[in-house]
Amino acid sequence: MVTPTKDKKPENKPVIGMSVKGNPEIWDDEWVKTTCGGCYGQCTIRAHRVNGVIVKINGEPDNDFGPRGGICAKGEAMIQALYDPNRYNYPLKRTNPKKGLFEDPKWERISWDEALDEIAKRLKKIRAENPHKLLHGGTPGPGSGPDLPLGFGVFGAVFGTKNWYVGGAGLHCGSGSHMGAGLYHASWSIVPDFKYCNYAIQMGSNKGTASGHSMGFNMRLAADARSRGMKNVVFDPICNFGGGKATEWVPILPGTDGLVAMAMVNIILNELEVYDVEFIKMKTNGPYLIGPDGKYVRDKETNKPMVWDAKDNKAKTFNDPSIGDFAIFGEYEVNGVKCHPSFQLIKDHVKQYTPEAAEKESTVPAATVRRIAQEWADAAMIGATIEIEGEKLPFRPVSAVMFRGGQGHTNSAQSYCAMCLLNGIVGAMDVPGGTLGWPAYVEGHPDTGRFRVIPYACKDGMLTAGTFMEHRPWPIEDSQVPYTFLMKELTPTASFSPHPVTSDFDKYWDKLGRPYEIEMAMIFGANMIRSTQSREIAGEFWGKIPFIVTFNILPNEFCEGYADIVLPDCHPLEAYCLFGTHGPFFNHPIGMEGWNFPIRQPVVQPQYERRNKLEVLWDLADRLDMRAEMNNYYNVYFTSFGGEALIGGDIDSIRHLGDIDPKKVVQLIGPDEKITYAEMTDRALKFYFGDEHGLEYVSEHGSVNWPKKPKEAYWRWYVDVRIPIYMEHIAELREDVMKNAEKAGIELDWEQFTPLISYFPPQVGKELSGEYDLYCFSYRDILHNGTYTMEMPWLDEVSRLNPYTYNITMNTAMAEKKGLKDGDLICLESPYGRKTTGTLKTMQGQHPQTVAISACSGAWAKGAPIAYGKGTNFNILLESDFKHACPVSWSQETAATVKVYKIDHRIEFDGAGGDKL
Amino acid sequence: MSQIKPYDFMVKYQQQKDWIDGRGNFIAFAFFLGGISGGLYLAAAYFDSLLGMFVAWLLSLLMGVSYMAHLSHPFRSWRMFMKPGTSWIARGFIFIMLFIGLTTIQLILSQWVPEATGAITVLKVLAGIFAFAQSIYTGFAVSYVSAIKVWNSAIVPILFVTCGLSGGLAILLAITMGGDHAQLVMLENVIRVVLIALAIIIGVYLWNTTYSSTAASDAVKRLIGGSLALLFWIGVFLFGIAIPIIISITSYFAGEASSGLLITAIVSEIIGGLALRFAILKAGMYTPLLPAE
Amino acid sequence: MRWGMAIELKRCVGCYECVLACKAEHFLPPDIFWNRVLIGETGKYPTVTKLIYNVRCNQCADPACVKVCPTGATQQREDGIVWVDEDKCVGCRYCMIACPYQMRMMYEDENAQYFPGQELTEHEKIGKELYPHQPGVVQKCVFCKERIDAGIEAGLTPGVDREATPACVISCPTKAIHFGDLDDPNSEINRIIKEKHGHPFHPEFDTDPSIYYID
Ligand code: SF4
Ligand code: SF4
Ligand code: SF4
Repeated sequence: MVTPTKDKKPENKPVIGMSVKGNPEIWDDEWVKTTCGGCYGQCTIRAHRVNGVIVKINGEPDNDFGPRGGICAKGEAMIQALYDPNRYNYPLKRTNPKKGLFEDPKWERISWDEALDEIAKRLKKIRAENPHKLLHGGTPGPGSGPDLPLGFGVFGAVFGTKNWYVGGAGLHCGSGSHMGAGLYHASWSIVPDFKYCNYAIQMGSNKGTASGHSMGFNMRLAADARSRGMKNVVFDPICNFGGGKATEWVPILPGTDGLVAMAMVNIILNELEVYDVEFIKMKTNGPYLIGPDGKYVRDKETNKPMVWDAKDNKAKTFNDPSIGDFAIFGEYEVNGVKCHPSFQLIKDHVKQYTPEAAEKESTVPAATVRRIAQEWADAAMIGATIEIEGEKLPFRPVSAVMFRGGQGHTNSAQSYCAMCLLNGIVGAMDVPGGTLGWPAYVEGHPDTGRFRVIPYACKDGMLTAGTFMEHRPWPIEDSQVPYTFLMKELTPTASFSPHPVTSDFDKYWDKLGRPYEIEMAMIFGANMIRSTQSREIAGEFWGKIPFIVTFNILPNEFCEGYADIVLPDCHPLEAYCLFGTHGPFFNHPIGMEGWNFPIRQPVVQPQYERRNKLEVLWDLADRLDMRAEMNNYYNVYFTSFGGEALIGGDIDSIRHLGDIDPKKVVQLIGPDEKITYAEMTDRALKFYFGDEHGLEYVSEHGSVNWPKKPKEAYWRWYVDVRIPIYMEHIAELREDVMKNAEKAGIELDWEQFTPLISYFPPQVGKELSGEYDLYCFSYRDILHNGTYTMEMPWLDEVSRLNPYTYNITMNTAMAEKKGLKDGDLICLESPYGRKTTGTLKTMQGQHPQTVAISACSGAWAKGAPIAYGKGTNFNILLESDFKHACPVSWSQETAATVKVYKIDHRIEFDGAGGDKL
Repeated sequence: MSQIKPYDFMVKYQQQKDWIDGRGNFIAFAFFLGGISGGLYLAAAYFDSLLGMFVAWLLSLLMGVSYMAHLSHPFRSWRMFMKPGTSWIARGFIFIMLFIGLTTIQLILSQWVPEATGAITVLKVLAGIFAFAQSIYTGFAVSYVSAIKVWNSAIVPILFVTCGLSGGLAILLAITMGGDHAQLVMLENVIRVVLIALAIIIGVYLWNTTYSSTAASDAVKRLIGGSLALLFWIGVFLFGIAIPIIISITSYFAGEASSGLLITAIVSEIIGGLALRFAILKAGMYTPLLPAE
Repeated sequence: MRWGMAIELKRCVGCYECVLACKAEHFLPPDIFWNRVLIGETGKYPTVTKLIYNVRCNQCADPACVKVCPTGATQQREDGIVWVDEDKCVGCRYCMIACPYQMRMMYEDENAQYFPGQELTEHEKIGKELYPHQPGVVQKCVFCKERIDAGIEAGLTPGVDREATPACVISCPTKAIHFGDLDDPNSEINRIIKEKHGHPFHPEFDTDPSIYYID
């Protein structure tokens, strides 16, 4: 795009769509279509540039990838991050050799060449010795372009390291939910089908009210649903974002959501006995026969799981076309062993979860659980159908969803699966009105057939995602003895790992004989100190790494305390980004919302020496003679979206690029070509959507749009796949994981490796005592994402106007009981002696046994003067070790027990060097 | 008290601050000065005290100055004549200007052309009318504000006028102290009546207001038992009513008051008048837009 | 013609975008807000309702502020929009006192900046050219009259065409705010108000607001 200059004034256009006073001279008045980089949501936007300055952000009204014209406050405030005088403008080198939480880096400006030479020198040495000595990591989204499948993590993977650490992973993310959504929906996360759903249950989730995931379209669709009268029951300890917009808020203790879900399953299966038999028989492993060892009874010849054909009265392999009726109840004898359809086992197993038992742990009254279960089951309308665009589809207008709050505990995987089971038994999965994954099924652009991802059945007939990331939900890979710093290979069901930023990592690494050490880290746009669990534990880990390079747009605690070189990244409004998301299963609009492929493009040119980090990575690749490998990766990646899933899209499969038949790969970029990002974008767009939809077209239109078919939106019954409501694979995994864990001296809660979805009390609950008598948790605030949003003055202003954003909240009566009142400066102390402080604000809408902190505030970086000292950093309170992680998904325990007392100053800022607080 | 948390703005009961904080203080002064100036002129005209009328003129000028000091654009103040049809501030501004203008001529005539009695009387009557107007408008400016329930009462103008009158009388007393004894006694008698009237009016006002709305009764509570209690009981009640009444009643029975006591009563009365304006302005509370707990 | 809004409270999630949209649109200085999101709660645990009201000047048909303004700076247009002529305002604050909705504020500190002690941002600088603010005068929401006027001149319809519709309305991600002509019996906004039982906020203030709320 050509940026107008003062002397090349365009024709005198009338000034509309903006407020001006008088007759200011306007020589540039352009609305540029692009995507927002404020959070994962990546909504499509229009940025208004006047006289070379971005003055306004609007949502894009003409496609579904966002709020259709609206935008959230973070998106608007991105202007202030763009023009923040504190931004990094040049490569910087640390001159203070000391690293630590409050150390001043004493930056010295260096040239790009100097910086890249230094980095390349080290990388070369590492690559020659052992590429794993490079740890790479980041957080997708916030503040700098994510380029999920193109830059984020790709460089390291091509480089050859397997040490890939996602910032705040297992903490801000939902490891259990990515595992579960992958397994049950072939998707990264789930959303109620707001358009048709009549009764939604949310457990610790702010979908449509605050979450970053699919922020824009969720807000819009959820509002339509509320306005239409959808019932929305929210189980949450706090009545703020999710609870605040609920038709019924049900206060619950943190980490007990899974139990309530199980109790509801029990009521529906055993008391009400209304369930979707058809769905259970055809779409789940409910009919699969389970032997006394808890595993499938398999056909001796084919090794396929067996089912009982109730018509022929004999056992058959699960996909035998002659099956007349799948038995889901009873006891049978097959292969000489007694066995039961797994559904029978599930139905019996859940009997222990009475609403009364659930009440004891969760404090949700048994009568409430009963009533909601009844209402929900009624609303499911099992057997009903609906016609959409001529297609007759099952209609199940109920949905249960969960996100971090519900599953950010040591029972993450099991709790999330319990909630999925609730959807599964009524067949409300990827059908109109039910729970939808982000689109897992896309047939491709009508002109080219490309950009195509189709879920399919593999091993045991189970649902397999066409593309995924971070881990393979299905088929489950084999457990291995840990050999990376992440150790995730030990438990292949985990999507993120808290390691190595844990207090017990060294113990295991020692036991394994310390195969190698991390010599260098490359971190993309993250705050690895403030947004990860326990800044002390994190600080200790990062402080030991000899050389750290970060790409960032703004100073933060990590850059200042630990980075050796900072590279100035482009702000999303200054950069191209071809893949803001990782394909449709990540963040694309659900249901019959259209297909959109938006791109990000610079609205203003990057100032000073800021550079797009992808092009910097290519520069580095050149210096390492690695460009051809990178180019090959891109070719493979683009081709795989062209129809054949050559790679899963996950980081791991990048490492097996060599195995792919080169003949299958379209050569979009020649091995020796050195093209710009814009050029790559153009070629990729033309490849996917045809020659007429290249960069020029998308620059003007913002996105390539085409209609979605009902078959794609509601794919469940169009694909012959089943889901494991009986998690046989977890039972099967257990022995191997145990064996491999022993070699590293790792102890996990083995009980949780059970095929029957169960409830396990969370670690946080076990730490409750007379002294540490309250649960403390954090939750997402609609105004903030990551840590960098705190530095935007507009967001800071409105945060101060909000009673909860910057305060610690507590139930009014509980505060009174403790002799505390609004405005008191209080200290929260964990049983491990970790402390954080802040100002108290009482509220009625909070569970009395909890203390809550919103967002990720409490900044202490010197380069973030707006954020400094505002709010409270919750993460300080968290522990980070296996004891505080879900053994199956490796989600962190994101709640802590605390005692609360008054204090005279903010101790966590002692030594921070800014104003005394 | 005006230090409310930003997030409580319009969510909790909240004191008005535009006419009390910072420059807003000048509004309280202006109202006070307008009151006593008007009261003093009326009293001085009645008792024919040229000095009293002159002081009233001075006080009115001072009121104008105080007013200007409150404006952020004083040089545009001429615009304040524009909307007397609906705005009490515009009306008040006109009253003050007319009062000052008329009094100037009257004082000049009285001093240098005392034989022009006809003109002087006419001017006195006219100036008296505007003295009254200048005094009562301060009350109307406040009571017109329906947004602030504790102000929105027909009693406020009467209260302000009476209070202004009592202050004016006190100043006149100070001016006449060394002079005619009979006049002094008469003045004292009038003051006694006015003070008792003032006490009654304040009582009726508070009583009445308590029952008018929650916001207003809340404000009254703050006045008599809350954060403004000190200002109210010591400033308004003790200085404005109790001390002057006690002194004037003792002097009534003693038949004679020492000038020391009289001066105490006068100063006390003036402090009380100022305190009353501050108390009422500070008591001004907005009704929250959200239902308050 | 009388411009008005209808706000669906069920839709609004309290994201504050309407506030920032206005701040960006009018380059409002720090701590100046032409609209707000009020957050509160009613009830006692565990039966609690969170309250979220986005509020701005109600463009009252019978505005207290216009009546008390001594200079005529605060005035009402034919189409109902109440605005302040910056050149006429003396800063007596009577209108601020009189507005029962507290929707007016004084811009005092002309040196206030978003990054105190650092340079002015490009956004702040261009704001001083495109939409300058006079210090010492009262400000308020003007229903984006500049957008409406320019839009109408270009043949657009406020409430229908984005360019002619107030910034906060088009920016709301939940589409909670509707805009249109209250005098036109057939307008969409009147239909919504009627169908969904819109009512003014605090009708007892007796100023006949042009903004309706829908519970
Ligand atoms: S922008 Fe819309 S959803 Fe957000 S606070 Fe304003 S009215 Fe509510
Ligand atoms: S809301 Fe207030 S400022 Fe707006 S027109 Fe009504 S009285 Fe005037
Ligand atoms: S209508 Fe315009 S001026 Fe008024 S609050 Fe909305 S954006 Fe601001």
